[in-house]
Amino acid sequence: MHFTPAQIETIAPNPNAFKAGNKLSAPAKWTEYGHSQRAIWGIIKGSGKKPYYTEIDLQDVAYKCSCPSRQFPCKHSVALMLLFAGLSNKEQSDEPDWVTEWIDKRRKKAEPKEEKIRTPEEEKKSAKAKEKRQENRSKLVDAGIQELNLWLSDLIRAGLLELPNKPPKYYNTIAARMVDAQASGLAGLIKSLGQINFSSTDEWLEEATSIIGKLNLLMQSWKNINNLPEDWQISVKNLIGWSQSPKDLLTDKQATAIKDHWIVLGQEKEDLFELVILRTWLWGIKSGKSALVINFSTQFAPLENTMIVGSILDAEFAFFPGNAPQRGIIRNNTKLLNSLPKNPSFHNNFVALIDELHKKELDNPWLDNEVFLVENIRLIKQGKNWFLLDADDHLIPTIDEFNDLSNMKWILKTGNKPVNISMVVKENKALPLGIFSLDNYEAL
Amino acid sequence: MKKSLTIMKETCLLGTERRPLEIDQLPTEIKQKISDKGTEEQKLLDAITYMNFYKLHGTPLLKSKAEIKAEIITESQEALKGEGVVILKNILVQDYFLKNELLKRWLEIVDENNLLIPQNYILEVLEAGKGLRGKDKRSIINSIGNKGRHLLSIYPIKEYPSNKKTDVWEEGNADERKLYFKKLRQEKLDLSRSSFNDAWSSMNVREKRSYLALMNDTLGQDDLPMLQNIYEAEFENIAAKKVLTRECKIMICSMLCRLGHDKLLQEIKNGITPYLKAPSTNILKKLVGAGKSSLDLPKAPDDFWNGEKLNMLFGMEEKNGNIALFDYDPLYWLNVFIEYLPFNFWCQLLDQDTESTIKYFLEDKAFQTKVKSKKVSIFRQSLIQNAAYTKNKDLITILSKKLDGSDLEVLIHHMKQEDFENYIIRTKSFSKLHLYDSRFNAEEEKWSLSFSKTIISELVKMCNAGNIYPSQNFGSTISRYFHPEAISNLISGSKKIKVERTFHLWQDNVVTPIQNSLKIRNQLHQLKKDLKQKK
Repeated sequence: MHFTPAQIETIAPNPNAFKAGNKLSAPAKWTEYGHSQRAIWGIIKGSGKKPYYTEIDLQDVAYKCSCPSRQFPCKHSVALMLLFAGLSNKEQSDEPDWVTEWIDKRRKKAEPKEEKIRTPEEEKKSAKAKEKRQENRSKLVDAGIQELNLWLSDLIRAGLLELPNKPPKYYNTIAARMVDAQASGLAGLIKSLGQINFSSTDEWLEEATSIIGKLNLLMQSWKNINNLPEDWQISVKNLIGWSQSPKDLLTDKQATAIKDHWIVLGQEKEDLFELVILRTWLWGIKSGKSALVINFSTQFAPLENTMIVGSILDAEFAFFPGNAPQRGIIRNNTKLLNSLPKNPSFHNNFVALIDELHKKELDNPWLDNEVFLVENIRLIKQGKNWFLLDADDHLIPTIDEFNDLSNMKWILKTGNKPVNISMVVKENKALPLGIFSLDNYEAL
Repeated sequence: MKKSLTIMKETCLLGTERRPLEIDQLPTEIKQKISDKGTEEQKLLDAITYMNFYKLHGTPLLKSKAEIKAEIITESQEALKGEGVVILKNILVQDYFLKNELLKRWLEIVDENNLLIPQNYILEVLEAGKGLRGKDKRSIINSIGNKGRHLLSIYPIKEYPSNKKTDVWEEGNADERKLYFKKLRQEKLDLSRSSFNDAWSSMNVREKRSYLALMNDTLGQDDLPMLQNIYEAEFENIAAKKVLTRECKIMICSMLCRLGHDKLLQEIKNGITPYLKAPSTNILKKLVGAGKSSLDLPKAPDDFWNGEKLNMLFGMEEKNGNIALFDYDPLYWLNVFIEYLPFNFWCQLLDQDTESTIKYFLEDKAFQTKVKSKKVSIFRQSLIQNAAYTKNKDLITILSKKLDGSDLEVLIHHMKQEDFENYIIRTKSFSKLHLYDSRFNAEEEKWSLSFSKTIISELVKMCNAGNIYPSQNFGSTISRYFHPEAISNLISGSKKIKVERTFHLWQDNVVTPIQNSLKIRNQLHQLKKDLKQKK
């Protein structure tokens, strides 16, 4: 598998780690290095007495290094990948024992474990305990939502004109109450209400009403949850704050799973208070389905980013249950492909894209971050704003996060030529992710 | 819908208490969905929810009304491939100064061969090249291709002035204008003069001073008429009252004198000549070197040496600006003349060569005083400043041999290579890396073989004595100037380091970067050869 430096840059935890890795990527820096079908490895001298042993699992991407760094992947892993990206002669060699041992261990761990067989009595006990837990949590959420309803009513009665003058405590107190009520999804929405840039005269009211509208819809849905179909119930619970376990999904045979060639289209990192959210969008070439992987990091748990943007995985993607499954995890990743096995299908224009989006929104009013592939798109500037332009002269503005650097990359790659792209639609704005060419895909 | 939105917006802002929601005004679809039973607040919350949903999901697509002007841009040149790209990648991870120097060489090769920078590296090269000289930046502009130049027209980078030069001059910000003017002074002197002349009256005094300083760096004989016009119109026989105006006047007078403005020079000469003491005829004095012309200044202001007159003439301060150093006012004003007049003026006036004139100003008892019980030469600073200001090579050479001290460091960049090396050895400044850095982009940069050997040997001694810590800065700095043939001395020198830890640091921080730099240079040499062969 061949990674480009641009792809490797996307998995580096920060620009400094990439720069440091780049400096260590010269073959002369490594006392030993090699690669096999399933791994690359190397030994490099560090500041300590013992050298560092670095290894990368190529099939089910993972990194391991004996250095003490808490960054993930560390600069040595980045350097090792860059070293191999730059090598012209890539002859395979035998894996040393320390590499074989690690890879074998990983493969063994990935194999589904035999489930412990429970007696009917144990099953009953467990189900009862689960029911009790759910009931207790529902009571907590009920109380939280009642309190939030009161808070929102007060706000609406007094008028949103007061919002810009409210101190942070005003939002933080009620957000903390929602955390106590185990409704972290609601807490997040309240916090984002407090984070609005009130100095923008035109937009703050629109942003505030949009958040308040979402909060109200979620609260009303919760009140009505027992009348909703099971998939909807799961979706509402997730939005309120119920977490879904990737570990369980790995072994869940009932979960919707699609085996496909998945292109890792792009990533977006969002800082949300003490939390960093990494969204990775994928596209199944055969199925024409999109998928989303979400990773989180806190100050105590570094971000684990094993998805290399632009890579193509021959893998099975399992979706978390819900009314419109989108989020999930990669499982049974068998290999990485070097090029696109075939070109995916694209929407002809934005009208077709919006039609599909509206159809999906009827099924899911909270739909956001939906990914689409469209052909013959150009990036143009009108006034101070940037837009995507389709072949029929329809425009979609790009989101602010699609910054100058991304615009520059687009201009250099395309020279104003219409290109086939992947993009995410967020509240009627576009986040372009990457550009398709012949048998290749390049992230922006 | 628009009306409903406005109504709802007003209710949202003012609150249901002051402005109840007029449900009848809402669109029918929403009106039907809102329950009658809930509170006023709940009704508004529901209305907001529905309205948002319809607004978000019902907004029609924008259609471009104007004709889109986005010409497809193609390249006619080929991009550099293979080994050249690997070398660039290596260069871009080097430290700032070394990166600049190697990038400069790499760009020369790309430009000479009419090739393009690989598209994936254009943004990095544009960023890395910001610190390069104008000539190298032009190589970058030539090598980024049509797409890169188009990019710069949309995202101008101030370090890379665009082709629309008049726009920058007329509409650019202060930094862009200065950069543009600096570039014009190097490339198109005539245009620089006309642009400067046209803009002079609209500049504020701070801008005037900045542009005059830029002009001073590239002063040419053809600047005389323009400077003369400005002088006559604004400064001649006019007292400069404000500090910045005075500074402008001094700069203009100084440049006029350097360009041989007869009237001004003659006036100054006429003013000073009466105070010139004729050489002694005493043979004994002549033998001991004391029989030369000298200046005998009045202790108090008189017809020539007075603040008002010298302000009118040259823009000087009317009072002694440094009473600690200059015992009486005329000495202070002479100091200003020494700083700003071309040095040959003094040689001619005193009828002595450059070295003797410097010696006279530095060592004559009349020009010495005591500061904190230490004897100091009162004109030392003005001589150094004159050398830095006029870049007079003879003056720089003599001062570099006679003086040391941190105030001389302003001259390092302009020293001849030989003088610089001698200065470092004489002042034992082997570990003062900032002095080496001062030579960046100097006319000559490379160290001689013997100097490279000396530096290594001295640094090894200092390491062994525990006087220096071989940090990365040593390797990064030395590698830029090091003579390739001294590499064996570098390796043998390392073996003389006694402490094991210091040895490892020396190896990692000094030897490896130097070897690395020499390796990249060799690769660049080979690339140049290969590309020539391909042609």
